[in-house]
Amino acid sequence: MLVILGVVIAVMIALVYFRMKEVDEDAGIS
Amino acid sequence: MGELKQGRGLGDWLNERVRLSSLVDFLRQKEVPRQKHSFWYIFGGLAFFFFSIQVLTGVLLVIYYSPRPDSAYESVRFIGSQVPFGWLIRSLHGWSANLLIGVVLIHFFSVFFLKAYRRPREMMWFSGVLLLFLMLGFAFTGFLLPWDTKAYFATKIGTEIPRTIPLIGDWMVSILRGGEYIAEESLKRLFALHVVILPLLTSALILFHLILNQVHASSIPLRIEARQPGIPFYPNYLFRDAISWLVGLTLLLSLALLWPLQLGLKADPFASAPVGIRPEWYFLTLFETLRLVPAQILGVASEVWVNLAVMVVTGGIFLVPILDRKASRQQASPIFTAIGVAACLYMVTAIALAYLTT
Repeated sequence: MLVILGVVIAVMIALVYFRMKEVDEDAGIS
Repeated sequence: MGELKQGRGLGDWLNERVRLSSLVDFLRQKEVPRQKHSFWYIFGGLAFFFFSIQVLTGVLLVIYYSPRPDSAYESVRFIGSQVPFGWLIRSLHGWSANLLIGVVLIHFFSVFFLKAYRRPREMMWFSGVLLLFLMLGFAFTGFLLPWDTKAYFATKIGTEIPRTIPLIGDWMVSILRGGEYIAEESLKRLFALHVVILPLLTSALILFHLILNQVHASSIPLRIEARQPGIPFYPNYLFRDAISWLVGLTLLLSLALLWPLQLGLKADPFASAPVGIRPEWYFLTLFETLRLVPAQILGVASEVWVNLAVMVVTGGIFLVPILDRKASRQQASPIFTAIGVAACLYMVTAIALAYLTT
C-alpha cells in the first residue's frame, strides 16, 4: 500500500514540477 | 452593475455569479519576491497545509469521540478498532500535529534569522508568535483526550508547572484543570479548548496573518537584491506550494502508516505515575530545563525560577521587533542572530539529553 501510494505521489510531484517549469518559462523566471 | 453575458458552460455560469475570475486576476498580479532565500517562504504555506489536515481529521475524530472519563478511552479505542480507517485518521491527526509544530518552528526561525519581522511587519511577527503558542496550546489540550496512562500523567505533570508562580499559581492550575485534580471537568475543559476556542482564535489569527501578508508582501532580507520579475503567485508560486504540500503529504502518510499512533492502558487516577514518563519533543526543552536546574537557587524553588524564565523568554520572543531596533533601521543586528543560534543549540541539546537520559 505504501509503495503504491509512494509511486502515485511521486508521479504527481513530477507532473506538478514539469508544469511549474513550463509556466516559469512563460513568465520569464526560469 | 456588470454586464451579464450568455454563459457557455458551468464554469461561465458560476463565474457570472461569483466572479471567480476577479480572484484569479488578483492572484496573478500578486508577486512573491525572487531572491536567494525565497526557499524559506514555503514553510508558511506548508504550516497552513498541515493545519488544514488537522481540521479535516479533527472533524472526523470528533464525530466518534466522547469527552467523558468513563467513555473517552473506549471511544478512542473504538475509533482505532471499529471505525473504517479510524486508526489512519487518528494517526494522521497525531503525526500531522508533530509535523505542524516542526514546520511552524522552522517558519519561526527562518523569519527570525532573515529579520523578516522588521518594520513594517511587526504585527505579522506578533500574530505569528501567537499562532506558534496556539499550536503548542492545541498539542497540550489534545494530549489528555485519549485518557490513557501517558496522557493522564503527562497532563497532570504539565498542569502542575504553573503552581509555583507567586500569587496566581494555584488559581492557574485550578483554571487549567477545572478543579484541584485531573478529572471530568479537566477533560471537558481541555476538549472545549481543543475543538472550539483554540480553532476559532487560530482561524481568526491566520486570516489576520494572511491579510497582513497581502498588505506588506513577503519580506526581502537586508542587503539582498530581489531579481525581477518576481514570481506570480498564480499559477507559478502555487505550483511550488503544491510540490511542498505533496512532499509533506508523503512524509505524513509514511509516518502514519509505518508507525500508527498507539493507545496505552486506560488511565487510573489512583495509580502512581509511570517511571520515565516524558512529554512530546516540543515540550522537552522545558522538561529538561526543569530537570537540570538545582532544586533550589538562592533559597527559592527552581520551579519558580524556571517559570520566571519562561515568562521572560516568552515576552522577549514577542517583543523581538521592538527590541531589535537596528533591524528596523535596515542595519545588521548580529546579537539577535547569535541569540537565535544559541536558542537553537540549547533546544537541540535539551531534546537530545531528554531522549538519552529518560
